[in-house]
Amino acid sequence: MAELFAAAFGLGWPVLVLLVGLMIYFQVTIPDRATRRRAVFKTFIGMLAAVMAFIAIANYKLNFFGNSRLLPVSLAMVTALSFMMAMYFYNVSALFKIGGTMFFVAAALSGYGNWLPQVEGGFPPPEVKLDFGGMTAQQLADEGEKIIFGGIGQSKVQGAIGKGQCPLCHGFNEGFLSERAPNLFGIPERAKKQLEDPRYHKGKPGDRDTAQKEAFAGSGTAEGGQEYIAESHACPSCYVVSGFGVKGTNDKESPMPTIHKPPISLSLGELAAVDTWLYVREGKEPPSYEEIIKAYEKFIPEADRPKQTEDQPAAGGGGLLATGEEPVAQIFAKAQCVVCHTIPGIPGAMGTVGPKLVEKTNAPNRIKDPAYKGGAKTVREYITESVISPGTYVVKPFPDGVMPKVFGQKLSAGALNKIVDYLSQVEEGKEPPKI
Amino acid sequence: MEIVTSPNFWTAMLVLGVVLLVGVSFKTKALLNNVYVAVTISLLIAVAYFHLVDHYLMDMQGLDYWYLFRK
Amino acid sequence: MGGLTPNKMLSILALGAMVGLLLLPIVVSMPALAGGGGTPAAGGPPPDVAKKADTPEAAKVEKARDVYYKTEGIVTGAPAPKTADNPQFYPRYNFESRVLLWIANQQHLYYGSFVLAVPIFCMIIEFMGIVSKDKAMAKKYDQLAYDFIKISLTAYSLTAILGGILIFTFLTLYPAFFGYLSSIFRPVMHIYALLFVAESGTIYIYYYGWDRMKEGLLKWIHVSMSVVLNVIGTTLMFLANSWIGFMMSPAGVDEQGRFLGNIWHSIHTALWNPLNVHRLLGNMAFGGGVVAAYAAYRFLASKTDEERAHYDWMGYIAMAIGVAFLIPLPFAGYWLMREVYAYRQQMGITLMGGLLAWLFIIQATMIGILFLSSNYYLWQAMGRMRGAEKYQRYIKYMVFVLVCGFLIFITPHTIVMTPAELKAMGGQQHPVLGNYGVMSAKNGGINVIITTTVLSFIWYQRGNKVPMVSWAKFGNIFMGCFFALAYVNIIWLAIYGYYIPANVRVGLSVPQVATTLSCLFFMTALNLVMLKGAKQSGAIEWGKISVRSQYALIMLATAFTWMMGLMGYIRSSVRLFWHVNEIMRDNSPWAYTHTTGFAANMISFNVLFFWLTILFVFFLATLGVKKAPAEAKVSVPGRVPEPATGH
Repeated sequence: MAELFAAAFGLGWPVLVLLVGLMIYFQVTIPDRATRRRAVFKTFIGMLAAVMAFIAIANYKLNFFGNSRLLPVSLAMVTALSFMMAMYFYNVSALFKIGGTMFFVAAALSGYGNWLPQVEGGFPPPEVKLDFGGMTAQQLADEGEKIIFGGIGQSKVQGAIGKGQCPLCHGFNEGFLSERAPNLFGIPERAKKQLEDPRYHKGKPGDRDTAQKEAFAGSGTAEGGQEYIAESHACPSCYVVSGFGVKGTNDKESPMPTIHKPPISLSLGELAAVDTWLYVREGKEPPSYEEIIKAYEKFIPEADRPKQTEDQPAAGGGGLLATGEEPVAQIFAKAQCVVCHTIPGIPGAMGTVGPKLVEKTNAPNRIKDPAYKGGAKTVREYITESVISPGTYVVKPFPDGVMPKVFGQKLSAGALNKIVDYLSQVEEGKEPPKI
Repeated sequence: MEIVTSPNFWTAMLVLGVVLLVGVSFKTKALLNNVYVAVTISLLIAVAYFHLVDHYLMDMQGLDYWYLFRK
Repeated sequence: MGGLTPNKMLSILALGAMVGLLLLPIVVSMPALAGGGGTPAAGGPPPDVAKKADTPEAAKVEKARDVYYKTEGIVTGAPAPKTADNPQFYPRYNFESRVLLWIANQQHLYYGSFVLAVPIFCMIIEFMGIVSKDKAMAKKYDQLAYDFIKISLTAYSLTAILGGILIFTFLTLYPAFFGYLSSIFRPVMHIYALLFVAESGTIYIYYYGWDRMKEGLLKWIHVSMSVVLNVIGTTLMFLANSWIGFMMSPAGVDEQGRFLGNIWHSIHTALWNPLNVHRLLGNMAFGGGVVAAYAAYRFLASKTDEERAHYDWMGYIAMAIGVAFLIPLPFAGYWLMREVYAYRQQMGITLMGGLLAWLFIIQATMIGILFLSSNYYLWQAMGRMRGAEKYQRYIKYMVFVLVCGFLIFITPHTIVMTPAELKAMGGQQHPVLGNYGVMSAKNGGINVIITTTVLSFIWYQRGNKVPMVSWAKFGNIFMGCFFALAYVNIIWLAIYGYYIPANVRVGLSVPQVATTLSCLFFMTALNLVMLKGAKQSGAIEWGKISVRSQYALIMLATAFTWMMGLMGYIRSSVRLFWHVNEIMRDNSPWAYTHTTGFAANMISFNVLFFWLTILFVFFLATLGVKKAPAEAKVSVPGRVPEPATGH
């Protein structure tokens, strides 16, 4: 209290001195007794009001950033002094009355706001890399939902899609139409049953007739439900649910990209989050984080595991993928062509998402195809066109829109030239050209 | 029950109310200002109108206003 | 009419000048927009942004995906700067920068809203004056419109000054953020500035041309000028809205905040249109409140009966306009909230059920207060009519209905609680009261309140009149039945909501609203028809209204100002720790959200500051009036503000 008065006096003493001076001045100079008394009295009222006003201001000043809920008291004091002034200063009485009313309304509302429970939004969470290992199942599942659908709660939203891009093909809710890929509702239960499917060849990967028999040599097949899910992510073509294979391959090949590889490149932690969500949202007990990671480690060799910490400059859209100074095999690898295409003579280029690139054989036939609407006349032109604008002609039976349309910007002219050089020499049934 | 939940029934009621209103007002103003007649016509129109509002505005959102009754 | 008098020539020239001013920004911006796409932002961004833009890689054509529209675009801007808590990004005084910016922003907004709303009133009132057949009435309306524009003219220069202060506050306290924002909205900001010039030019021609163009065709030209004026003003507000819309729901940039070359995407974000509608209506209601407060002040300060009569009437008109725009406001707000939920559910939850939920409870209270005070004013206003006594005895029932509706409306469903409170209550919802907080019941509450306000208004209209049409009795009975059933329908739907599943329940608010609007439109129309040729039981004695009613007007105005401050705070703080939602983080020491109490105190401060300044403006206006002949020269044209530099 003393502090308050001290602060008020500290702020307002010049005004008080002025008013006292004024009072003395009136006392001395006004000859008429009645007029003098009125003037002195009004000055006194003014002093009273000034004291109240400065106490109010001091209260505001002292408590502004504090957690005190006393600020509205200031407003109430100003209300009182306004009405008091309005009583004695007739000329501007309307102004004071209106001001008083306004202070009263504001004081009431401010008081109401301070009377309600006080909630303060804390500081934002720091921008840290997610530590999937340290999360509870629910947190992990929330992250999973974000990866699949782009946000928490988005799984109910039609068309929501996250970086995992799963809903592009998979349905997730019971009864939803899901033509391109199996509906994943009930997958935690179904996964175990799929292992018993004779076409799965549990424990005998060599007997499989699929395009890829094992995730990598010696990985074997899944033993439990979680391992089945992990295998499906790491090696979609190891087992294709009947009816969902690439058209014309009799379910021997899956159209699904390998999830831990580009373009989607989920880390093991992210994959664990996704899987945890699949369990949690059905109210099932998810396997522990470590169990899920172990299941993935069974199917993804050490070298292939994407590191979570790296900022993925390629995906973010930074610089060029290849400058053209590299050897051609490296350009194919850097531009990630090898992930989707089989290219004879290029190590690791075994992809089946897109057509096999034997362009010396293919290109002339494609250009002659009546469905071809592009402008290429030669093999080289056709290859260039296919790289820069993949949608111009889509080889059957591959779907449109899978190949990224960014290579025109992501490859330097030199790199593109080298690719075209190489591909235009590859011929079906012949030795691949020397690198 | 099925009749009551049909919008056609309420449309018919609304039309009936309006027809009565027009008919009576052509015949004689005195009858229109008779309390019983006035209340009957007003209630008919207002009840039918609000039912139609409820039904069609729910229907426009793909929802069923009569949910509880048809359940 | 007759030949081409000099006056007519002058007016046509003036109108031409206005249209020219209107088109000026478009013409000037044409080449700027065409050529300005690819060049790196000059001047605006702080050093770190500029550096990134200058690296050779960025010069190569690069494509990225729009965060909202999902279209591909060529990257033309620098990424949003990553700030850190240091004086380079957040220069500061020994005071919270955010609070300073808060004050500057809010004051500019109050004045801005006022000067944008008042010309719309002028347009409406001037038009009413022209079409009015009663000569005396026409003159009165015209004088009123002139008074309105006079008030706004003084406020106009203050708006410009406050805008300048706002820009300087931004530039000095948040340079990195403002640099980023202006690098994206560069062309829009220039058009905005030019429009401001156009607005100033137009408003001065409009104001000073008033006397010269008061007859016949000239008057029509003058009215069309007010239309031009409002088109400019509204466009100005829409452009300003695009910036806050971008901050809440960014579009036209990629995930790193790099501009993708399509300015329309950045303007037309998910929340732009709902914000536009909501703000336009809000401004009108707010403007009505301020003018009503002005009238109340003049009424209370007036010495003669004529003055009292004039300002009573002015207050009534202003209040009527304000309330007319207040009624659709909750619906516009509902639309905005729906769009927020559609854009980011998380954002909607933060607003309605999370961190900011208590503020919405204050808001609900304020909506109730606004409707209660407008009802109170209408009841008091019946006091100036002889013959309105017959309605007085019903008022207590209306108060009861209003209070019931109000209590249900403000009851929260789920609230943020401490664990102890949670335990004491046995869950997130109160065992009994929680039931009233369900949306359909709340909607029932507010719809009952609005319907009652409509009823009050109809009674007010009938106050001194007795309908003489031959079917009057039927009309009265019909109106009674319609209102009764409207109440029944609203309450029935509110209760019905408890018995049906949530996904069906959400739809119930639409028929509820439709019921209220049916009452509003059909019943006021029916009332007008019935009152044609009605017998007057007594004249309206303007000025005979009680003094209390004027305090109701002041209360209305203050509450409205407060609510505007509150909603602005809510809208702004829902971004939490983002400058631009999900694009640019706020890393200043003030990235947290204040407590409800602190916010309430700040809002009170802003409201009182605004009113103290504007009361001073009003006070100056009364000083001018005393020297009657010179009144038109109170604001000297030489003191035209130069807003272009400020904006």
